Amino acid sequence: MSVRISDVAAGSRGAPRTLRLWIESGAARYPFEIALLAALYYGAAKVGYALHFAGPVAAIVWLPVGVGISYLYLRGLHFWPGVLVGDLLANDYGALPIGSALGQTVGNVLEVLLAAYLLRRLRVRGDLLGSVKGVAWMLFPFAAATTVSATVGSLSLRLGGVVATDSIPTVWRTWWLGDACGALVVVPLALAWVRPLHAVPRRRYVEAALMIAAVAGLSWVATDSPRSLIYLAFPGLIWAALRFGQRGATLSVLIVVGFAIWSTTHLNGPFHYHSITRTVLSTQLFIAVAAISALYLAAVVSEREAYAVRLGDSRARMLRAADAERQRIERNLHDGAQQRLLALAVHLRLAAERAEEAPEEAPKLIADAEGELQVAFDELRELSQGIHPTVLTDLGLATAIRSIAARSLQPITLHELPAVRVDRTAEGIAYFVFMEAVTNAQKHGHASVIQVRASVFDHALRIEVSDDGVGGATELAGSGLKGLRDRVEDVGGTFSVESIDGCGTRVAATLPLERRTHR
Amino acid sequence: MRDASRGDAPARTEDSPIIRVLVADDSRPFLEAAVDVVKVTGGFELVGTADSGEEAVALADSTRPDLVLLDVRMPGIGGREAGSQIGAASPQTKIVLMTADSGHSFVPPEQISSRFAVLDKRTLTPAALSAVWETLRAG
Repeated sequence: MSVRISDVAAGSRGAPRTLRLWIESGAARYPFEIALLAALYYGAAKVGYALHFAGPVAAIVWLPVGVGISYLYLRGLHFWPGVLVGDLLANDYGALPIGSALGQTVGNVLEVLLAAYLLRRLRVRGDLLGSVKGVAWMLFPFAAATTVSATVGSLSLRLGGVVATDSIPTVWRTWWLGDACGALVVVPLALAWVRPLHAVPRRRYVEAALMIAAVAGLSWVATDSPRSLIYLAFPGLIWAALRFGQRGATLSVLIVVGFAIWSTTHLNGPFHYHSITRTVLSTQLFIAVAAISALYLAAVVSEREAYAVRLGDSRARMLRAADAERQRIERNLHDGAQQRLLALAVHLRLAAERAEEAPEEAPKLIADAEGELQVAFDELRELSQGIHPTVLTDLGLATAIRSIAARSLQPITLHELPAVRVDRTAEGIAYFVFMEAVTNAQKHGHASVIQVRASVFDHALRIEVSDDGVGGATELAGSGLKGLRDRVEDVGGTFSVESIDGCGTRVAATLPLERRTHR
Repeated sequence: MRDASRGDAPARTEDSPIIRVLVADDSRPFLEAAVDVVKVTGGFELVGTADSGEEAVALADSTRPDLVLLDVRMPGIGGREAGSQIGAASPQTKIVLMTADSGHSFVPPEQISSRFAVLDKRTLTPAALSAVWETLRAG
């Protein structure tokens, strides 16, 4: 860059170089993207007009709204002037009074901004297309934003005298559904395809080609016949969503929608009725149902895949943890009791030898050996306590927690403890959650009060440990909390840590209990 | 067996010098036991103890012992590496690797030479100490 700057400064290359430099410097980036968005928006509107599924009043599917929302969602809300410019350019000023056209534009810009803003807020909840919940959440911004546009738009048309008062409900409905369909078709498509593609095996391409052919073929049959065969579109969508996830589903929806619109605008196919309003409504409802069904199916597939990955990871972590635990026990045995017993063996041999030469020394040597044996015994007991504490086995979770609380230097307030014994696994894990949380609170959290609640209800053991310490605990890989999560989730439980800087820490686990089957 | 062990030490001739021994083990109890064995074995003298391989190497460098008893498994460089380093720095020093595991298959054969011996910790007695020294000295 510095070389080029000096070139330009020397004026050796002149204007084209300066222009390129200006573009590369990033200063041109914003106006460039505004122009790009305006062009995309305008293009999407023109496709609608050209194929006669969008008109000056309303559209079967208003694609520009999807383009605008996608762009602002992915690139930033500050690109909104692109939507404004695109919409102003796309307006049919020949068919609409200028006031109505501008009013419509205001509604459309607000719609795109509102939807993109809400979607960006929802993004923190995770991948919108990757979960059933995410898809459900995504529908709200679409519904809310299209309501704004449909309302502002129909009112503008009424005030401009384009439509009569009694047709406002129909115009509003068509507008709302048309914009909603545009968002439903385009936004998921953009979100699914904007991510980089992974390398895929060749046979997947073959299957993808077959799938697309099937989707197109079935859509053609479904939408070309005036008989109601529209359900034939669904096997293709299902194939796409099940085998190709979000990308397959969104692309197939586009194909199906294309065929449906084509047949409707060419006045044949299953949606063709004598009433134009009814024709438009049926097409829109079909598009909405097809898009939403495919999105949900793809979301379920994504969830299943994510679950499989999480399960695999958790399994691998569990195996590593179990291995590390075995190594720890082996090391403890080797360094502790085993060395102690070896020393004892050596001392006993020495004692035996001394007993012959200096019998008066023997009692002391044997007493020393006995002391070593006691220590080895204590070490072994401590080790077995670490694996599964005896007090837990014999007396249960409530007693184990009470005995720890009684010995604790810092006050541990026990609000609730289970009155019944539950299965050994759940008790063991709950005990380790308690121990780890209390240790963390004392060691790192500098807590003054630790509060414990443990209860059994609804076939689950729930334990919660909260403190008033410094907070800020994290579940880093290899940390005690991460280990706890793995242990809890491994038995199908749920684990949560809430730890805000300066506001203490709350660790909670819910462990499903074994359902005893009575024969 | 016991008779042999106690018989060995006094039989040492007046001109044979005292064997200076360094013991290294990270386990305190066993280190103490090994020290006790060295102390009661006639003709042997303890010159130092270490609880890591690194410390053993440093101590061997300053005390120049005749015999070093090294636990195989210690934190850090461990007994095998410590033995190699001591052997390289001081060729006349004999090395005994002590192991808690029965058998010594995990000690590489190239380490078992005339200057190295492997001893099962359970068998450490004054007799065994004298015997292993004799073996090493004889080459």
